[in-house]
Amino acid sequence: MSTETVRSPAAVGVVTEHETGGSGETALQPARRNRLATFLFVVPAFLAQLIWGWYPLVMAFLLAFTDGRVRGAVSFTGIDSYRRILADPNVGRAFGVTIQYAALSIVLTFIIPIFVAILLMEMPRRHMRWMMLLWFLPLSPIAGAVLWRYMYNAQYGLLQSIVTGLGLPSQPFLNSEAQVLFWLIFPGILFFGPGLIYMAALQSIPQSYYEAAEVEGASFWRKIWTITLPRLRPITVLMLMFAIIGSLQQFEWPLLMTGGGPNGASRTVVMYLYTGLLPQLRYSDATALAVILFGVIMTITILFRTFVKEDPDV
Amino acid sequence: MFKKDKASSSPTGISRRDFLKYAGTAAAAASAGGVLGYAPLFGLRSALAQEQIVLRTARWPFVEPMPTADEIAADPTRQVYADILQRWLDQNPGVSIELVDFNIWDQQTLLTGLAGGITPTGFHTTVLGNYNIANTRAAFAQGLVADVSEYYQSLGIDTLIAPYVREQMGKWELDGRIYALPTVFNPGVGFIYRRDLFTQAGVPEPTPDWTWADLREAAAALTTADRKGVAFQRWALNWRMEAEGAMQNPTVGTMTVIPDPGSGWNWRYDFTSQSDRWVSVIQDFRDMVFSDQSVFIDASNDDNAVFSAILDGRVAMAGLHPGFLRRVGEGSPERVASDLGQTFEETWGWVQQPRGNTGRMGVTVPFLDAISFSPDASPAELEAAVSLYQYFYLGEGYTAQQQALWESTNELKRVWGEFPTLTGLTSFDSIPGGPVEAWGAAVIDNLTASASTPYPPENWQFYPAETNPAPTLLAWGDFLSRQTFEPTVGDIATELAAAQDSINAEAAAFTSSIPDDVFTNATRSYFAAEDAYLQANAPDYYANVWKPWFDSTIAPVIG
Amino acid sequence: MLFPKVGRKQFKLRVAWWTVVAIMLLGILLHLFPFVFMISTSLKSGSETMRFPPTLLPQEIDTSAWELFFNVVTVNSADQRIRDLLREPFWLYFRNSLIQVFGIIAISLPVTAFAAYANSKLQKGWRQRVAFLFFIGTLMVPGVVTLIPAFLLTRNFPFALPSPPLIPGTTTPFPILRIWDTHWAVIIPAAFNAFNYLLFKGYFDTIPNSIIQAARVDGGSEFNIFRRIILPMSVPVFAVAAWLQFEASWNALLWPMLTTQSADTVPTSVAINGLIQRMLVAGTMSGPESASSSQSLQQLLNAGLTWNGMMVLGILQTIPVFFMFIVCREYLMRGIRIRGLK
Repeated sequence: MSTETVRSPAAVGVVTEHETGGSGETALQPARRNRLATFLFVVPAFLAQLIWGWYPLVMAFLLAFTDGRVRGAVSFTGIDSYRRILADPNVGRAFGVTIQYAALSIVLTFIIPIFVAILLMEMPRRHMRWMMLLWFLPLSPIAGAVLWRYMYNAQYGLLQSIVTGLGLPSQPFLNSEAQVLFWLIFPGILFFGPGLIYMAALQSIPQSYYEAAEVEGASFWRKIWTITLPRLRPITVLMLMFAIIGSLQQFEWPLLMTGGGPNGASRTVVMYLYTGLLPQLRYSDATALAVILFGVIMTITILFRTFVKEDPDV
Repeated sequence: MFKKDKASSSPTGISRRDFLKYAGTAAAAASAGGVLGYAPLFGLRSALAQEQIVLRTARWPFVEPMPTADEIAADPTRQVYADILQRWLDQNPGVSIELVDFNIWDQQTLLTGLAGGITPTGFHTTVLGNYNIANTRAAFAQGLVADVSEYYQSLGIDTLIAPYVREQMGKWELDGRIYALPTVFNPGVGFIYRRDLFTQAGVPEPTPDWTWADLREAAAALTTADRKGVAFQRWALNWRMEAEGAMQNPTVGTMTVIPDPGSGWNWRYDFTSQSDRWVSVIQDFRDMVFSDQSVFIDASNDDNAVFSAILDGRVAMAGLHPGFLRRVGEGSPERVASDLGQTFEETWGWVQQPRGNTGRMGVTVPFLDAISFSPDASPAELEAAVSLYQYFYLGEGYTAQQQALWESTNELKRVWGEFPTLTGLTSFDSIPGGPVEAWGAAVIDNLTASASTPYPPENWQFYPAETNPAPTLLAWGDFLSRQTFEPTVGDIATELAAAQDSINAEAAAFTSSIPDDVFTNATRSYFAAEDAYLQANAPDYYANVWKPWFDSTIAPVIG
Repeated sequence: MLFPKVGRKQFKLRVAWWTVVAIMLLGILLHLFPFVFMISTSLKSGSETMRFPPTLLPQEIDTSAWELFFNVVTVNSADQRIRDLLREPFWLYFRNSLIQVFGIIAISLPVTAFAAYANSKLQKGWRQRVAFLFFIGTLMVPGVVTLIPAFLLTRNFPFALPSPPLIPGTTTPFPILRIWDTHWAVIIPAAFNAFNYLLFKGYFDTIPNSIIQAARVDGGSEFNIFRRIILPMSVPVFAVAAWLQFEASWNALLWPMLTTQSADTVPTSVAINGLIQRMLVAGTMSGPESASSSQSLQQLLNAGLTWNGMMVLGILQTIPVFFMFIVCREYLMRGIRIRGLK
């Protein structure tokens, strides 16, 4: 970017006082320089996102106003799809399940990876290497599904034998409407966490902050509370936003485990779209439901960003 | 270099794929800085089609590709297949077979592929509708597969298939056109059971007209400390309810779906007017699970879980279709029998699903699996594809393969792996033994009985195709899964009424594409056919349950 | 460091330290469990994998599944199962996977990081908010909805239609660019990764603005600031992003399945995972339907593919992810090393 050098005497005047390397490079006017640089930084991603993100999305959204045929000519049917979706009692239930699932999974699974990452960073380096490997290497989802299906079996499963071994009454696990969501989320408490991301972010915290706190005699918890967590805040907030967006669209795991049962208690919105509407070739209805879900998630995201700020320096 | 999987019939000249590869490479070099691989496939296809017909396969149910020299060297039995395929290729010059990687087993992949015209030439039909017939027929109506009526006649397929197969072809017809051709005659889901365990426990073996009361009794008697009587998939209560006449789709003997031509959707759902009966059936099933404790069932149970339960001896019966018995080698029923030092026939049996307690037929309905063809195939490609299908499934190719299978393995179970056969054959020249010798009379008698059950009237034989979206009606399955798994439920009748309200609320937003007068006429003939069928095949159910219901509920509606 | 460097011998600190170590080790033990299970299942005989409750360790070691594994890797087509699984030599799929995955990483990491940096440090006010929603908005829609138009776009770019429309007044269709069935069809649509965008943005937000201000005052261009100051500080997050991208692209199934078809474009995930997925979802509700879906399961069982074979294929598919993890881990720990020297 050294080619866009437009000399500005005022800027040169300011810069020379602090000139260190003597590279001879001069600054643009801050505002203009900023805008051009921003443009160049953003334009490749903008084009990629426009063409491969939004263009197909808009094309799909238009499908909601047609009879949604996969092949051949489509005809416009107005808002019929929306009418059907809004009148469908399954949709309301699925939204209820989805919101419960998202809330429960965030409460139960969001915080632990942060603390795991913080504690892992305390381990001596040579041990950290293998500990990290074992904590964060993801397991193939196939093996996971097979394993957990065995473990949850209410009649022969390993968990049942642990529960009864402890003298507790036997549990229905996935067979109970009241428990199914909890047990679906349970494996995620320890497994599949994004702890690695926090480990990367923790490294951006200057060591001097801790040394200063140590001099003041701050305790273990106090250091976490006053230094680590605030400095991690931007990444935590964005990961939380992603967790919200992602968990509102969860469907693969419950689909593999329960197929949505019992009594639809684990049938999320996207699972309903995937297993209820699409197999019937109701593409336009599925799209209408996706548009509604999009609206809900977008609203939550905007509200979230209005009330929760990422920047720790603000 | 990558030609090995191609069955190119022309010894000279370059194959289509190589040609495209070169064309693509040249075009890529020409395009701006080689940034994108620009392959102008579009213009090339029609020019090439005249010279050579390429059939694209993703293996079963369509054709296996020509074995390569390596493969034949490694496994000489492949030579036989190569010869059989070559015989057809010789008769059909200009046709070649190309193997493609495409997951024809996933509905969304298949439909997306069809949208862009990239699927293999032949694929498993029911995947189009995620294994649901009504949805598959909706795909036919949308023109997602090729119409093969012409070749059905001209290649003599209608005369080659057995009567029990032809009877079922109606499923794959829409407005008189044929969209799929038979691949497997499947006797349907029944129960695989361990004959030896029945004998040990002194329980009489099930017969084709056993009832759910018999099943409950047998399951209780077979249950021991480390064994349950029966294993069920998570959806087993659907079978139980259907056998009593309660379900979400109009089928023969259904008493919960009422024609209602005045409404938009033309059907309404009634689970309350016979609430007492449904409640007692559900209670009966729940007692089996929670009081008798004779059932292995779990919300995660699928075919695999149930199959492994019976293989492992943890249950004495399992709800499965007989194809599971067919497995050979390790972890197979055959191996279980030999480990126990018994013959296959002493160990294994298969029986149809039990009848309902009022005598309605069980849910075992023979099912005809089928192959459909890409709508993008040109007429010449389609004709070649259907002819190849005919050769391998019904014609000389089929016979030759079974004989080769016998010569290479000397195992009757492999030769008669699929029974009943599409062509109705029960013996081959030069193969000493038929299905009974392979599988034992216990299995084959029940399979034959199942196959020869008169085919029940299906609503698609009477109603025109529905082209509007249909409701999912998931509330019924949801209600049943709750009753299956929840250890304590509230008043079943109240919950049933709530499920009914939910289904009717969903259906109210839908409009059928079938005009009211057409609907009423179709309903008249459909119920007339049901009447005749039930009278002949479920006389008790007909006289005591169905006919009185029909007279009071349906007759006033359709006049 | 939360634990002070001095005074570790103090009793209270010692107890605290060993408690933390114990918690970490307990977690590791729990994590080991699925791995042990996966590997031990792959060493079981076909009938033992069906046993219930499952045995944790194989009662009898059966290496047939691993023989399958080695036959796959060494392209020994004598094995019937391999012929049923793979139509081309394994290394060919493997090569395709590598081209596509590293192509995606090489393009999507810088593209995404630039946009995230701009949003974090350069944009302000409503522009920043709108750009943010523009970049992550597509995360909010289930992918299956946009699948068909996006796929058609690889066939007939720039038209998301089954075939290009005709130029008005003629019978000639509009010219199109077809990237379908090339590596580009997998790489280009992945050029921007919305999840990594969040990850980068979150990380860049943690970098104090004062550092950048100081550099600006020193007269560096924005690009040089990024390259000289931000990039070295961000090695750990790039490592994590590269690894996450690798894992996602390596295991991607549906998209490459639709957009690649010839021997020199199909990746391993398509060749391997498709079968596994098919085995897992078999089985539906009512009689005739489950009969039909069981039929497809039968085809697999007859091909000799049982759970032990599945596990081996699962392991085969996971090994490159494992190696990539080890590579990325070194870069992830670079920050720790630097910090240790400070």
